[in-house]
Amino acid sequence: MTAVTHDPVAVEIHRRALDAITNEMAITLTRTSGSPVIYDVQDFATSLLDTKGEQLSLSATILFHAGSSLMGTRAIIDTVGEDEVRPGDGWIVNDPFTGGAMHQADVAIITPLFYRNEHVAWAFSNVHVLDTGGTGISGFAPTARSILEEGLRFPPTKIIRDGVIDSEWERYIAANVRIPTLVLNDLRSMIASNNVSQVKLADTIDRFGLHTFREYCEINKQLSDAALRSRIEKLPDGVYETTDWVEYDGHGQGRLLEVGCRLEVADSELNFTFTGAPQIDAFVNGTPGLVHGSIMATIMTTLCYGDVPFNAGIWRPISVDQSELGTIVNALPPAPTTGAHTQVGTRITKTVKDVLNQAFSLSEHAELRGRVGGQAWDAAGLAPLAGTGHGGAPTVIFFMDAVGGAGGGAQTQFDGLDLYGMTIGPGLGLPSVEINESKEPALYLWRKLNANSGGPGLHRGGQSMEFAWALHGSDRVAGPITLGCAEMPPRGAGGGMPAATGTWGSYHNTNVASRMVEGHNVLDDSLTGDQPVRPSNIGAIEFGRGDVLRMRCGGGGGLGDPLLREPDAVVRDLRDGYVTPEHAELIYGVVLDADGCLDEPATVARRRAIRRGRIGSEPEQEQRHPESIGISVVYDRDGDHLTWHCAHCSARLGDAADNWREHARSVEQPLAERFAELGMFVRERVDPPRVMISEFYCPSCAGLLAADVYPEGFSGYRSPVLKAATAA
Amino acid sequence: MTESNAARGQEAFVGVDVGGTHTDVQVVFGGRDARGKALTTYDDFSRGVLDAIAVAAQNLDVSLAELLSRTKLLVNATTVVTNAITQLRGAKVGVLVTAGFKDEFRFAGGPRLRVVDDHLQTNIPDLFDRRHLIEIEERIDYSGAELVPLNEAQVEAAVRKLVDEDGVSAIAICFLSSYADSTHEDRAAKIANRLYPDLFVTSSSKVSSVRGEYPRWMTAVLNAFVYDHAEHFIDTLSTKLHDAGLAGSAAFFQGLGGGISGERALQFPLALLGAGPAAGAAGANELSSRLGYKRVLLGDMGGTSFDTGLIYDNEVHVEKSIQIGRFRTVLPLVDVVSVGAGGGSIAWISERGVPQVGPQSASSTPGPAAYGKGGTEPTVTDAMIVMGFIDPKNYLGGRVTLDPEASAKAIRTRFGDPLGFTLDEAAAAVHDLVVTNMANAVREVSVNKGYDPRDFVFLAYGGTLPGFAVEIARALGITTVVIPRNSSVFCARGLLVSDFLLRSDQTVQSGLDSDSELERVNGVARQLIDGAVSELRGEGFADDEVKIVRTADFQYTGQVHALSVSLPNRDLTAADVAELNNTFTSVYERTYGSGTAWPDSPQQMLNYTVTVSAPMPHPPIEPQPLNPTSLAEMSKGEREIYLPSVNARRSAPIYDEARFTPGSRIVGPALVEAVDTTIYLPPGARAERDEHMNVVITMEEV
Repeated sequence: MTAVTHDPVAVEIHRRALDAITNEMAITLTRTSGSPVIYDVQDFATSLLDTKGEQLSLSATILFHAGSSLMGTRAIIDTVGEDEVRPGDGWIVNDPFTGGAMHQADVAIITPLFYRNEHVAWAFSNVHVLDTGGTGISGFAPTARSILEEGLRFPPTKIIRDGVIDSEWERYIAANVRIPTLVLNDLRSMIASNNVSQVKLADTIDRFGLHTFREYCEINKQLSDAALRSRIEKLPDGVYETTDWVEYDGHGQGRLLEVGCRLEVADSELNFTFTGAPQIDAFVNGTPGLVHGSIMATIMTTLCYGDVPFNAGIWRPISVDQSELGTIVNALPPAPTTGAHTQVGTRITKTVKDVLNQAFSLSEHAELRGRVGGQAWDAAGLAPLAGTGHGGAPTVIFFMDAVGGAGGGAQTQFDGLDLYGMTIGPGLGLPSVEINESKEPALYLWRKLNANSGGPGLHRGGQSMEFAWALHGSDRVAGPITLGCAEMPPRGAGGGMPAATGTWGSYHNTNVASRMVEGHNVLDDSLTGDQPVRPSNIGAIEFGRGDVLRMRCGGGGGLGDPLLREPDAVVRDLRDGYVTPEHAELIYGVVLDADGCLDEPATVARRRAIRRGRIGSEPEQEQRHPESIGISVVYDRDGDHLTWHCAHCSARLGDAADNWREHARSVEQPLAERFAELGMFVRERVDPPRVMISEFYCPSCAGLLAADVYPEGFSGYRSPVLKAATAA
Repeated sequence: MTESNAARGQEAFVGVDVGGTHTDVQVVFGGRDARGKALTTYDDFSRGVLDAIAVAAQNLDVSLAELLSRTKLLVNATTVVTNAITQLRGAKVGVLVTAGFKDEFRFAGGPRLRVVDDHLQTNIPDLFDRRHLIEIEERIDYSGAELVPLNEAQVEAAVRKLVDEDGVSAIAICFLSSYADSTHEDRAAKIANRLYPDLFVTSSSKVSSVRGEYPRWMTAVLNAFVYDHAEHFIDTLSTKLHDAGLAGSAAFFQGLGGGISGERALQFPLALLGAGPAAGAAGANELSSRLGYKRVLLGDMGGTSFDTGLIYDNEVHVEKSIQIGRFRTVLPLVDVVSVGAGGGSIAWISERGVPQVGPQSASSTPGPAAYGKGGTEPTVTDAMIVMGFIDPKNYLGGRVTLDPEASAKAIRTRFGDPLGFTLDEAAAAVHDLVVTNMANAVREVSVNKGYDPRDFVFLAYGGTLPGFAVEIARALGITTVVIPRNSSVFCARGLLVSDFLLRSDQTVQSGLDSDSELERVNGVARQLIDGAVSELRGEGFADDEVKIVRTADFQYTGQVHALSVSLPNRDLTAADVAELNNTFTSVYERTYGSGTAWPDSPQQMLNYTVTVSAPMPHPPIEPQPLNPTSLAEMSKGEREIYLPSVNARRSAPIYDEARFTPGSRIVGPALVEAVDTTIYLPPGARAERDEHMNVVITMEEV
């Protein structure tokens, strides 16, 4: 095929060919891996990069590897320097500090790709391997005080020659991990994946010719760059800020560690600044690869809709300032990092969602306003437990139920997705009970949807799952457990409420065996046993035969005032058992009659009473549906003068230079109390500060404008600072 | 037309493809064949079927009654099962599920799509009311050990409630680990049947006894969900056709690629899903076996989609666990990948300014701009008209009048101008994108599964594909393309060349590492075979007619995915294991690349599969004598067409397909026009008509 210069058809065919290559690499990894982390939740990524270290394509399984593939490959390029690279060479890297890794269990294999003996590209494969040694299992060491305790750490290291892992390195790796065969097989899977890309890339370059191939790579980067910029241009210039908190309780005291996110929208650019608490001697600390990747996960799921292929062009409109070194968003060695992706990383993903929501809400373009959404739970409950498995062989139980089991944020067109998993992982799935039981010594007792787990809203947040399994056919397994979001819940947007969180617990000396002998299944209302109080993060816990691990995920945040939800939708949720009657009445104002049907007059009355209760008097204005779903506060322009308004009734909420919250009616109370009243789960903090919720209501129509959550004593969230307002 | 008909006793064979809009019929009667088409009649499918057969009978100059009285076998494929699922209109289903696990249906094994856009992440639709989902105390573990006995009183109460209070007409029984021991499911089904003999009851281990609860359970639920539509279809067709005088038997085609009896179809109606494309694949396999091709990629392109699949060593590739819409199942189906690329596919420009074709389609209303029925979007058909591939004066034999100006306007204003292309360049861009889309789909069924398309022949059928087939083949490095006769109704033809087919799978999870394990696996195999063979006996087949094929899924211990390996047709012995392990390693490395095998990991047989078949009668095949026609005799003149491969307009000869006799040859560039299709031969392509009236096209190696 002879390609005409700048022929858009040929450029598109070229782009699809590159995507087909990373996709084929991904297929190779999934099919050949023996790790549930790969085949169940697809915790891996494949990418192609040019010799400058710019991305050409990325498989969309785990999005934050947009960051690690970029930083990891650049680290290799820096290491190689002027040295010659040869076909069959390959590097391993898993060091967050020098190699862009998210955390040490995410091991990358990076190999150079050639065309007629010329080095033309890099292939990147990354999988979460089942073990990297050290005190943590599967790379989770919730109580390690230093990265030196956390196990194998590879800065860019050339372990592959002539296409195979150097036998000395094989012995070294095997000697340092708990399940050498599986770990080495995963490394081989990655070599296989990169080999696939070598063959396919050469085929592709054959079709286009090297010169044209490279030219089209550049054109495709420009196209993605331009497409993303055209959307950013539709957001109002200004500054949007938010704060979230990492929960860490593994060293005794329960701490909340601040993560600050500031987004400046300037013309067609997004400039992010992150600030954070000083780094701590526990596994939460983030590094540049993590921060970049976690930002990109949200950008991709919200702003790259439709037709914006991922390549280096996506990075061009975005700048990231990680501010000071030595913080949890920009840590220095020897800070431990094995939980960085589920702790600091997920809070970055969530804060970016929050600031983008603010900017989307104020766009003049309906399409961008339509991208507002609730936050996902965006955490993971992980319990990698080592011990003996079926037949007495050593094993690591690493079930992914509490990764895929989390609710997604409510969207403008529909309720949030149940069991959405994490923002970073479109490929996240839910493990099969039967497959897990046949591979590992576990007997599931139940898996169920958590009622009232989705954040209430005009569109309800996605629902989450709880599961419990008993050790079955083994006498002992032990390991760490970590769960990242128990106290500070996922937030709603535009007056949508936060969602229920997650937690875990263990049961020992249980009635599992005796109850089954009596002929009954063991369910949540019949399970008994000793239940020690557990922190969210624990370094080591033992399970004996019949002991039970019970874990629940959180839901997704709601969108819009719950009082605006169609009563019929609430009735359906009631009928399905997704919400309880008390919850429906208290937060949605929906009342059923004796036959279980909607009691319309009672519902109207109840909703009126709730509005009255919100502001302490009869509302002056009727609360209408906002022009855009899930947007509660808008601005209006009177000449050069900008003012905030309630989107339900147009009442003025102060000058745009003010924080509109100061002009709203607010009710603050401890979140644990509010959620207890609504029948929603949140883990109440033992140590100060308490987590508070402030609900802000329009003083005129009593519409819910925002439900803020924060630690007691926090100075409060700020309104967007629009450039148009400050200029005036 | 041939004298030997009478001697053959004039037996008729009827293939019926009941589609969403049209019912297509292909009849072979003696040495002749004929096509018939009628509108599908939803209130009583048999009427549309009889209408279509009547058309074919008329074409054969016999009465409908006579044709039916001489019909030895009628095989039909239907879309009723597919439609029930896509429209979410089915039976009112109740479900019994292991206590503690009723929400698994909502979880759907993880409902998120592997796409990044949050706005595409929607919950999976409910097929049944959650109030009709009842948990039952019972528990079996992975090894088949009973941990909690079945609470039969609960089963009885639940079934009574579902039927008497909720009015369900079908029940799916879905218990954990029933693949390891189906006793609980079997007993629950027996209780339900005893209480309500007319109730449709399906249990998950009976639809397929394989590990993995959600897809197995969902298969059972879908089977119950589609049963009433299928039953209505099967009953009316069987009775009314016989009332109308059908002498022979009626068989129903499965998506697995073979026929079953109506009785069997009533038990497992979901098996009828995807029968149309599977019939095409069956026909392709029969034809390619006859022509001596062992490895074939097949393509079928009509108005809205392009379907492609793979035949390797004369076996049609079967996907073990297909996804139906958003529902994951364990249903085995002929592996056909479908992409939105047909004559009606719309060409458009994305936000990045990049030209795209499909998947949106203009369908038949408003249709391509050229139809003049209000369509303004440029379609593939419009591009073909602009390029001169379609003669607007003679489309569908002149039955549809085309407006080439409307095509040109749509292509120019909606596609060419925004891109800065001339009209011809714009049309050629549409052509190139269609070729790319289809070639990518072919790669998905070949390259992605470890096969090199260059080792294959491309068998192309459907109304639109002959215009693209050679270019697609060229993009894939394929050098031989076969376009069968009557390519536009090839699927209906496939119905007539298939066998009766049953398949059973059983998870065994065995390392085959001891005599007792081998004996256990052999015992499972004997049970599967006995069950299937006795079912075939029940259908009237003699034991010596039954062909048994055994395969097994192997994996390295620790993996979840598995690959299929052929087994000898006998009990396994310890001596077989090493060879099976070697075979698995080579299949594995062929699929995933050399060096990917796990040398230190033991292998495990995950599932044992038995496929039994018995021959259904096939119409005789009669080769035609070679009788070459000269180019001048075949010629319909010349026309200027735009050749995408050279980016220029050239005058090209046009030939009449009706005069393209066996032994004749045509060299590209040229167009060969039939009533319902046009074959495009680009420069360098040579076409020859063979004795079975297929057009065999070969290309110089590129």
